[in-house]
Amino acid sequence: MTGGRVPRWVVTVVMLAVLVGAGLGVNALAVQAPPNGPAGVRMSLGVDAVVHPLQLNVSGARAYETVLSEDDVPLETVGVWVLVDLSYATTDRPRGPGDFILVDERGRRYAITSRDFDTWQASPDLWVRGTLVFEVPLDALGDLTLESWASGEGPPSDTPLPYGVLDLSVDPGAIEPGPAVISEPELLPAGQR
Amino acid sequence: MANDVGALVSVPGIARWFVRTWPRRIAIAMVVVLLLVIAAVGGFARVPPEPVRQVAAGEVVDLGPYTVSVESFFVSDQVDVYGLPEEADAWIGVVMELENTQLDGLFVDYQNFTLDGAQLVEARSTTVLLLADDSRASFLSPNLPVRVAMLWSVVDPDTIGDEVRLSLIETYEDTSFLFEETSWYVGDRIGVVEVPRDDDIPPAIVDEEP
Amino acid sequence: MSGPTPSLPPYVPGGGREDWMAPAREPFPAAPPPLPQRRSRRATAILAVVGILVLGALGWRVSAEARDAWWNGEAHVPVPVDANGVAELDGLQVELTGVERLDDGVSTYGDRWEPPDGLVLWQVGLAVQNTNTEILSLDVLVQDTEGRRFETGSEVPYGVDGVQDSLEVAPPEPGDDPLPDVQYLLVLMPQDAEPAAVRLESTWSLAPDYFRLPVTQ
Repeated sequence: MTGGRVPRWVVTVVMLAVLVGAGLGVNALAVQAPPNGPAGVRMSLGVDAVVHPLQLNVSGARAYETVLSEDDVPLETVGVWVLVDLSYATTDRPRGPGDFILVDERGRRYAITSRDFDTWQASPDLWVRGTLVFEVPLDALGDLTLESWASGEGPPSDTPLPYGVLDLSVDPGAIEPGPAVISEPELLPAGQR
Repeated sequence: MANDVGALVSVPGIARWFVRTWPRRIAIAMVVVLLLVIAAVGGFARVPPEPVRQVAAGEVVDLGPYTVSVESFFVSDQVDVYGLPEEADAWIGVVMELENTQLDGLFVDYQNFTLDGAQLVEARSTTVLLLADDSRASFLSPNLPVRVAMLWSVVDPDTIGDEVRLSLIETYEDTSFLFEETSWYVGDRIGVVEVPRDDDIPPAIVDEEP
Repeated sequence: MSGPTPSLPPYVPGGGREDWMAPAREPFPAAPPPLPQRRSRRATAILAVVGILVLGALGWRVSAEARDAWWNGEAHVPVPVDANGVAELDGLQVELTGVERLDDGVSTYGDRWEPPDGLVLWQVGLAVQNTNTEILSLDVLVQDTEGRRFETGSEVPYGVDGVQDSLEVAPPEPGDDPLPDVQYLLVLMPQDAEPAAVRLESTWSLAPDYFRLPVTQ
C-alpha cells in the first residue's frame, strides 16, 4: 500500500513517537486536572457555585455538643454535631437537592444525620437558606470536605456525574456546648444568600 | 487415515490420542497416583465444622463491616407500636452496640443476626431503634458507635424464658471478578450469644399509650 | 503449515521404537489456501452496513426497558389545545382562564403576606372538568420564557381566601359539589420571570402526556 516509498523503519519510528507523545500529553493534562476528577466542581465559601441542576452557596460550618431536635428534645451524641449553613436553588425546575456528604481527612464519609432534620425542596432561582446537620466522631474534626451530589445518585454511581467539592475547616477546639437550635429553612429575598 | 477427522474426534479417538506416547502415559499415571494418595491420607474427607464460639454478653465481635456487642434483651409491645405486624403479639428487642468500621456509611445487614428461643413471626429482624431518641438506626456512620434495640416480632411472648440465643453471622468483602466492584457476602456463623433478659426498657423508646 | 501435506503412516501403538519420543504431529489436513487479500470495495461497504444494522438492532432490543421507563417517566407529549384554549385528554378537560400578577400580596388567616424583595407572586386561574376516575391529582407548574418551571403552592402561604393550596381534579362523587368553575393557585417567581405556559403533569397518571396551556397576554 505504501508503495515502498517510505521505509518501514521510518513508519515504526513515527508510530512510536506518536504513542510516546500522546502518553506524555495525557500525563501533562492529568497533572493539571483537579484532584476530584473532571466531574468535581470546586466551590468556595460564600461564593455561588453551579452543580447542575443545583446552585448553592455555603457560608460555613460550626460544631456543637448538642442540638435540639424538631420536637425541642436535646439530641446527645458520642461524637459531635457539625452544622453546615448554606442556601441553594435549582437551575431548571423544582427538585430535591440530592445528597450532601462530609468527608474527613481519613476519607470517612458522613451523610446528613438520619436521626432528625432533612434537606428541603429547591426551586429555580428561589434561594432558600437552612442548615444541614451531620453527626461525626470527635476525631473527624479539622479539615473536612463537603461534597454535593446534586443528582442524588451518590458516589456509587458509575456515571461520571458532576458533584461539588468544598474545603471546610472545623476547629476541634471550638466546639460549642449548645444546644444548637436548627432554624426552619427560610426563603431569601432576591440576591441574598 | 490422517484425513479421517470424524474418527479422531470420537471418544475412542480422543482417548487413544491421550495415551499415544509414553510421556503422556506416565503423566496420566502420576495424576492417578496423586489422587489415590490424597484419598488414602483422607484429603477428600469433609472438614468437620468448627465448633461455634460462645460469645459472652458484652464481648465485642467483628462481623466484617461493623462490630457488635450484645447486652441483653427485653420483651414488650410498648415499643414501635405502629410497626408491630398485626399477627404478632410483642417485640423481642435485643439491646446491642454497633460500630461501623468502614470508611463509608452502610446499612445494618439483618442477615448477620438470627434469633432462637422465641416464636418469631419473621425470621429476620427488620427494625433497629436508636435507644437515645427512638429514631431508626439502620444506617451506621463510620466510627460512630450506637446503642440500639434490634426488634423481632413474636407470638406467645409469655413462653419466652430468661435467655434467647442470638447467632452472629459474619459478612465478608469480596471483589467481583467481572466488574471489579466490592460487595459484602454472607459468611459463616462465627458466634452464639446467650442473651440475658432485662425488661428495663430504655425509656426513650417506650411509646406512650396509643 | 504450508506446502504439500505430509502423509503420515498409520499409527500403530508400540509400532516403532523411534516413535515413542516423537512429538505428536497434527494428523489434520493442511489449512486451506489464504483468502484473496483484496476484498472488493462493495463487499466492505456491505459488511460495514450490516455490522451497523446488527449493532443497532441489538442495542434497540437491549434498551427497550430503559427507553420505556425514560419515555413514560417524564412529561413531554403536550396535549393539543383547541382554538378556544381548551385541552382534553381521556375525560379530563382543562382551560387556562388567566395568569395574573399580585403586586399587593395576599392575606392569610387575617395577616398580610408579601413576597420577599425581588420575588413576585402570581395567581393562576384554571377551569377543570373531569370524568376520569384514574386521574386524581395533578402538579401545576408555571413555565417562564427562559424555560424555568415553578411549582404552584410552593413557597407561598396557605389558607389564602379564594385560593386553593392544590388543584382539585378528582371527579366529584354523585351528590357532592361539582368542581369549582375556576380554581385559583399561587406561584412565586423571581422578578425577571415572565410566564409563558402553565403545565399540568402527573408522573403516575399522565406521563408522558401533559397539558401545556400557553399564557396569552
